[in-house]
Amino acid sequence: MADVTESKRWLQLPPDCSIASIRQVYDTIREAFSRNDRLEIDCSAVDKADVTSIQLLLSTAETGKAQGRPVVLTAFSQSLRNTLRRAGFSSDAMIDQHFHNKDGA
Amino acid sequence: MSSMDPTEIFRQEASELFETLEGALLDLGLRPDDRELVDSAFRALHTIKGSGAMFGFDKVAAFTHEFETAFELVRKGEIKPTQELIAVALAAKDYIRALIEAPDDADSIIGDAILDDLKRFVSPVEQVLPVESEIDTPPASESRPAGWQLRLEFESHILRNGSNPLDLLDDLCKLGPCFVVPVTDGVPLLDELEPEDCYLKWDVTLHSGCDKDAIDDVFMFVQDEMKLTLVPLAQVERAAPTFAMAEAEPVAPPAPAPTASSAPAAAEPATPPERKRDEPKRAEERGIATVRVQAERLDELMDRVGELVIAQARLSQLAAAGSDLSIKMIAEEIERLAASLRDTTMGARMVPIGSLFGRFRRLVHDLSRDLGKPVEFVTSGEDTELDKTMIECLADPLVHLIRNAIDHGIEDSETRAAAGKTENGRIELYAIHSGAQVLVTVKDNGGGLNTARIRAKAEEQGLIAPGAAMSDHEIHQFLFHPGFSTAQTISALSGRGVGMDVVKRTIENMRGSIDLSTKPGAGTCVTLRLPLTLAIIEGLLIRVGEGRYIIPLPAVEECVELTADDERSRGRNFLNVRGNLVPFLRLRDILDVPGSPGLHQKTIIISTGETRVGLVADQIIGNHQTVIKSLSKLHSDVTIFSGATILGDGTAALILDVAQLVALAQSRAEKQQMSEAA
Repeated sequence: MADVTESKRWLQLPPDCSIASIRQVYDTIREAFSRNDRLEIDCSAVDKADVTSIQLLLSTAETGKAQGRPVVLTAFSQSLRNTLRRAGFSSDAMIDQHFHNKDGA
Repeated sequence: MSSMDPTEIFRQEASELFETLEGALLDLGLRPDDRELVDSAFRALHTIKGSGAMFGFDKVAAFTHEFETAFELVRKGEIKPTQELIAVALAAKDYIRALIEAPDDADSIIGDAILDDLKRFVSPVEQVLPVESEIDTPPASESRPAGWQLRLEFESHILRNGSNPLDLLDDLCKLGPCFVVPVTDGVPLLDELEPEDCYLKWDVTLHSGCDKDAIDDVFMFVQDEMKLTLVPLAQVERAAPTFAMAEAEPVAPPAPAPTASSAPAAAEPATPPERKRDEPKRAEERGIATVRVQAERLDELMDRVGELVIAQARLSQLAAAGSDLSIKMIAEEIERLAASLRDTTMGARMVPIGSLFGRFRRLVHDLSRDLGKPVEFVTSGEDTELDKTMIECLADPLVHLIRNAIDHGIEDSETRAAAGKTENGRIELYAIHSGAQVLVTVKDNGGGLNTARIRAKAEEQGLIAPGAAMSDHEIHQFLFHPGFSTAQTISALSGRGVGMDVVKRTIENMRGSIDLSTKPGAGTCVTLRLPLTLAIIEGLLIRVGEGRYIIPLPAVEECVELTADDERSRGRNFLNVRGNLVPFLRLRDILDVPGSPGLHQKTIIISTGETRVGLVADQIIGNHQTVIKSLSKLHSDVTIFSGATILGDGTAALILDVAQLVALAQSRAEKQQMSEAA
């Protein structure tokens, strides 16, 4: 089960962000999006990630950009980084460009 | 719930793939330039290889790989699919089938011989390859990079199936250094995002000397759910690339960075992109539209429905006898539901006869080659549906009929030329629905039956007295007599007199009949008349004397009263139905029912083949869902009944075989006429 910790403008993604739980993570992000002008998403707890996690984060970042509402993804866990590298997001600069990653490398 | 052995599932799937492969190969013999056929054969081979390896059929995978390698040249257009190559490919297909179905019996020497034959076709091409490579691909000395540029696009549902594109990318990277670039522009904004769908695509530059097969192998199990575009790196360098690496990053490792441009002519030409785009759709539809079910489960379901129908008939009878309106309403509701369930269940058992027709193409192809008689094989009505049990039973009779048609029916080329016929013989196999029956016909344009020779042989075998008066039709029936053959020589195919009797017995066991017509010099036509199903039919329940009988409802055209005028026509037995004279049969006479008929006899007009006949009964009781029960072996010679059924009150009713009934009456009438003439 997704367990998204939410404060006013801050979300922490749950350990399982794989396809098994992605729907709940998606719902929570959308809900948080609807209630905040800006959003910071903490990815440090992510332990299971796959293509769906990458797509959700990409979509979140792009939606923020399209709506003029800053979205910042922070503290990518090693597991999430490994998944991103396998998918071809092979450098920190590339990750930063796509995900507006706050802590970059 | 029993689960199927995975190996058995593979065998079944392979069986379907073999049919596809064989059909494609045979069609390729006729249309060697049809690329769709080449691709179809190649896909079947590739799936057999991949699944074979997965299920532990290593010999199958190894042999198919060799086969596939040879066929790859056909796919590339480097060698033509000649008749010789098709023949070897068919032999290779047979060998793979043997490896799967009876691996212990498959002789590796045969396999090696087939591979040698395949390599014969490949070798000449290999020798000319260096020359071609000078023209089409740059020599290695020019430092062209070895490798491939790929674009991977997956069907949106692929993640839900458990497939993971990242694993595939990992596998691809094992082939050599890879530069993977994700294409993210397909990922929608949050509002439109379906989180379980796949939106990402990838452009991959693979630096490896591996061949295309190695890359195909990586995507073997998702090939129907993705679009894979492959371009050799050498071609990418020389010409504009097929696709753009839309997001080549400044930090990307050194690699030939392609630029956006239109697709070049040099791009992998094997498969047009339009068709590839359709493939995943078809696969998706297939996945949703069909479920594989064990045949025994369908049989079991049919048995249960049969029991339900009988129980429902009892309930209806009890409800009709009582006065409780609510019980009557429930009985009617259950009757409606049972009828609907019966139709649905029977529908699930129906199989297009085309699945059977396909296998005869190979038979005709091989016989035509072995006998040196060019034969054109034409089929139609493949969509005609029959109960699956009937389809299984029909295979052997049709093999016999087609063999006979080619061996005995179709003349050799010289004889045909002398008779002013086309060089190619023609065999037609077609199926159509006709009332309650399906007619399956094998027709040839050969020399026709030699009635005089059949008669002479029958006299020689003591089946008839010399000079006995017999119609041509009766004489032709000797062909179905056990051990009867007019062939002067016994060949590997026919001539032993075993076959036509088996055909007749099999068809009659299926409650069917055989019509045979022939015209000297023009050919022979054998029509198998088969009931639609062997399980449950809609019947018309009638009474003759104290007995009750079922007439299959689809054979019934209408019911009319037997008028006094008709009654008076005794001896002529013709009804006047709206100005048309229709012959009728008195069931009391045929069934030897004692006593006198009632005042208001009814005539049921039935159609059987081209004939309309009236059957006179004492009473028409009404419609009846008839669960067919086979008669015991003791009654196997009673041809006018095709089975029995249990009625609502627990008593039995016999099911009339109207075709046999009419044939019996005709035979009696002919005998009577002959005796009167004598």
